[in-house]
Amino acid sequence: MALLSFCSVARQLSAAPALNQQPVVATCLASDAVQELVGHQQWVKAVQALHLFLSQHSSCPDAQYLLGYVLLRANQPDASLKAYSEAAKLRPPSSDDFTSVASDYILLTDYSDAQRWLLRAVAMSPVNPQAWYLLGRTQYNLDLNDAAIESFNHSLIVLPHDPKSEYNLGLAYERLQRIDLARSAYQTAIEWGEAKESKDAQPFLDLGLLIRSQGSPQEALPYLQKAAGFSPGNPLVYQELGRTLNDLGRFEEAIVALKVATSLAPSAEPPHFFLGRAYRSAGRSLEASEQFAIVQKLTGNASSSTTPNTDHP
Amino acid sequence: MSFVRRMEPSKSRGIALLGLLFVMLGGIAFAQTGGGVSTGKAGTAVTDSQHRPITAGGYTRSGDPVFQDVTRAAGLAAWQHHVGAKERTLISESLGSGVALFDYDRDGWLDIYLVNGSTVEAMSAKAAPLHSALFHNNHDGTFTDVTMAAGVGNERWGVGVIAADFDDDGWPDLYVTNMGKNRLYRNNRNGTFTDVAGIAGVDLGGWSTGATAGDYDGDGLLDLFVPGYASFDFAHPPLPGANTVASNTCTFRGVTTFCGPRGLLGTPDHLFHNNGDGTFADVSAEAGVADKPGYYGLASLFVDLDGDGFPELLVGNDSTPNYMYRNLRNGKLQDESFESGFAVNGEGRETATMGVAAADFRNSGELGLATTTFSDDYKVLYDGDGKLGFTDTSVSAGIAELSTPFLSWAVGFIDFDRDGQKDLFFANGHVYPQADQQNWGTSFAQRPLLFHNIGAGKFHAVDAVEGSGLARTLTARGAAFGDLFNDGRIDVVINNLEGPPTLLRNTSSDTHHWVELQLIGSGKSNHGAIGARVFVTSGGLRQRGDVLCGGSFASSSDPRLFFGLNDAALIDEVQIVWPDHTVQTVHKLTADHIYVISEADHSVNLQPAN
Repeated sequence: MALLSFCSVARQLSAAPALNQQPVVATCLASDAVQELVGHQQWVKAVQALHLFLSQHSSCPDAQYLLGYVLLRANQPDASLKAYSEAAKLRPPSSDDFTSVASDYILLTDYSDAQRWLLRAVAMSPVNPQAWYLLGRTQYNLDLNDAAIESFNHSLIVLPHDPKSEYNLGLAYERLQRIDLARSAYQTAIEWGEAKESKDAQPFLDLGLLIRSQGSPQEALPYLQKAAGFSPGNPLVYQELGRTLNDLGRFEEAIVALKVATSLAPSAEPPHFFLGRAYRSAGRSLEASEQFAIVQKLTGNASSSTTPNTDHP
Repeated sequence: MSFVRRMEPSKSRGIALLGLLFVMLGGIAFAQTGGGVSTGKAGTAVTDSQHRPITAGGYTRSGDPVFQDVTRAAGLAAWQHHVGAKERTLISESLGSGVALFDYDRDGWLDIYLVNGSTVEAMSAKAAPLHSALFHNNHDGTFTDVTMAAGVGNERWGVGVIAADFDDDGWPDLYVTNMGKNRLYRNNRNGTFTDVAGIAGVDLGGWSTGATAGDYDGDGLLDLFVPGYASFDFAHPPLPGANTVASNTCTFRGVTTFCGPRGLLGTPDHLFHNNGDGTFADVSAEAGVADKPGYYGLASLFVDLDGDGFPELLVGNDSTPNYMYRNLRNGKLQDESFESGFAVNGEGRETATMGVAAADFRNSGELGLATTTFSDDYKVLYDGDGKLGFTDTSVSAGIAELSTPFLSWAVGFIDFDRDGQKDLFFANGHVYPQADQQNWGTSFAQRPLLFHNIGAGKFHAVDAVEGSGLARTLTARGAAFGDLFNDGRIDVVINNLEGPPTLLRNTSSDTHHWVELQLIGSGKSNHGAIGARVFVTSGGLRQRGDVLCGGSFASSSDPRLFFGLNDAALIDEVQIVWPDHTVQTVHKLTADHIYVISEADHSVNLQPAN
């Protein structure tokens, strides 16, 4: 009875979206403890509980699949893949299971294998939007941008008006230097995201950067200002806002934005460099020198030569 | 069904894995390459219609073949550069060597000096030594190898070379940098040279790279600056897996490669003050250019960037910030690298700088700069304001996109079509042979890049016409630029890693006019007039040229100044600001000649061989 109850729960978990969505844990009298652990995203403890369970019930496929999933969430992709391999001996994997396996490979930065399993996932279930989306991202990472565009478009057929997929479509178009299409996709992603309670700063940031790169900092500015509003803790957003203001000759405003960027990422070199440049443009040479000295001190130490995009670490 | 990985995960994977997964969910921070070099994000592989990476493809069938490869006909193909083993498991085997164009026998024609590498076997006398080569210009389009007679074989692990008249006797000497002791070959004025580096106190040791010569203190004597690259012990080489270097500096895009330069111990730079008695004093520390952080120096150039008559010092560093030192005119140089904007590119990121060039490419009277970088990174063009402020204009200038997959070394501003606008030439070649087995969008051998200056700070790529010199895929490293045939066109000599050099003869179909100026300094100016600034006005156009020594990558170009004059057959004015700050003005010179202008008597003569 206990085994059956647990396996029933595990099946539901396994069928849940594999990655960034919290699996829904149904009532399971026999495994309240596991339920609770998964529900509270206490992955490490859930792994321990599942191992204990499987030591007594090794033939329960759903428990094995759940172990694979929980190990994925516990940031143990190698162990997760082993668990999925064991599970597959007991029952063929579902589209979501393939998606989770692919996610393990994504964590391992093995995008070729990730693509392989995501292709299985979408072949098995062509209406799995998460699999299409991840497939697009993986192909984007493999520099297969045409394929990525196709996958994002599939994702949008299955899940229309998804700003995330539309935004990524823009990224792929931009990679291919199809600038008008990229710009349009970012703009559409922004429009679709209007209805969302939680705004994503990324399309605003990328659209702003794209427009600025085309030599129109004035037109780029509102997008970057909005990005800063939606993501007040993101140093890259403030850095790019500051650079744009500097390009526009609004040096004092640039300094304010860049100071925020330096405070958010004190060990990153570029915000200090650009702040120094803004001070220099503003004729505040002493403060400029201070910033350049910081950059020099940071260089080669435990610093970052790129500014973190903290919305997507 | 097994999902378990078919390969062991990379040891370099030490970052927060779950974080990476969520990077997948959107955003621009994606696909960092990491490894031993500083470069940009992995970009889209650009291929041509035959699926070749653009670095070894993208050729056109028609067009003006502006350069022709005449290496074999010129007699240069018999000599070959060689360094290390083909597998290139060590960074020492990747760097390659430079080239100098100079007139060692003063016959009015440029000769060629090509530096060679070496092997561990040759260094330990278990194999025949490799030698550098001096090719004498026969004045008929061919060259003769006179290395042994001249005594400039440098049977060491060679890197760079500059030609400059250090003893101010009117005969150019050679300074050759090595992994190991450097050479100062004094010109004996009879076709032979004598190595006086030890006596002069400039032999150093360690790993020296692209030197430069200039009179930083204005005493009329050429001083010497020598960048240091990295500490390297052949007995304990930094091989992948060795405990001498961090493993994450031995990968590129996840593929195991040779290690470095990151992870290696950088070595200091050296400034040698010319004492005027055949010796030099190491003044690096007191002058303020000792490179305390130990950045990986590869290229350097003395050049007067603010027009005060005293040269600044540029140092191109690999995977670390570049240096720009302001000359304080009191024997000291002040680090203003970040203030100037030259330390990093426009994205605020240090690049793997291999080479450096300076020129007034906007005809504004102020100098701009160009630097070469790794693949996955654009080559950087800086616009200068004449006050030591530089702005990265690579994107708006039109050189960023095409140049990104190329790994560039040598760079020069050359007016190949003589239209009065200085164009931009890059010599390219990757350091990882693995590039040919990966879908990185780049290749081990790469074609050169030539960008035509169309004015207003904008450039267009010149077509690589099939069969032309621009369609040759090379393992280029050093390159020097000059009029080898005295025909009023700038040619290019490239020293290729592991093979014969390449002589690209300028065969542009243009019919524009030109002028070349050889300057002879006197008094408080050094004899070769290094540091002189010249302003040529013709046809309503005012151009600036500077006599420089060094730059590019580990190379030394034609010391004569070249000006394309477009359709102007007459030069209205030549204004020379000599290194000692005196100004000479010459009016009404006929175009299409090489002139020798002497500071001593203000004479202007046609070069005898012309």
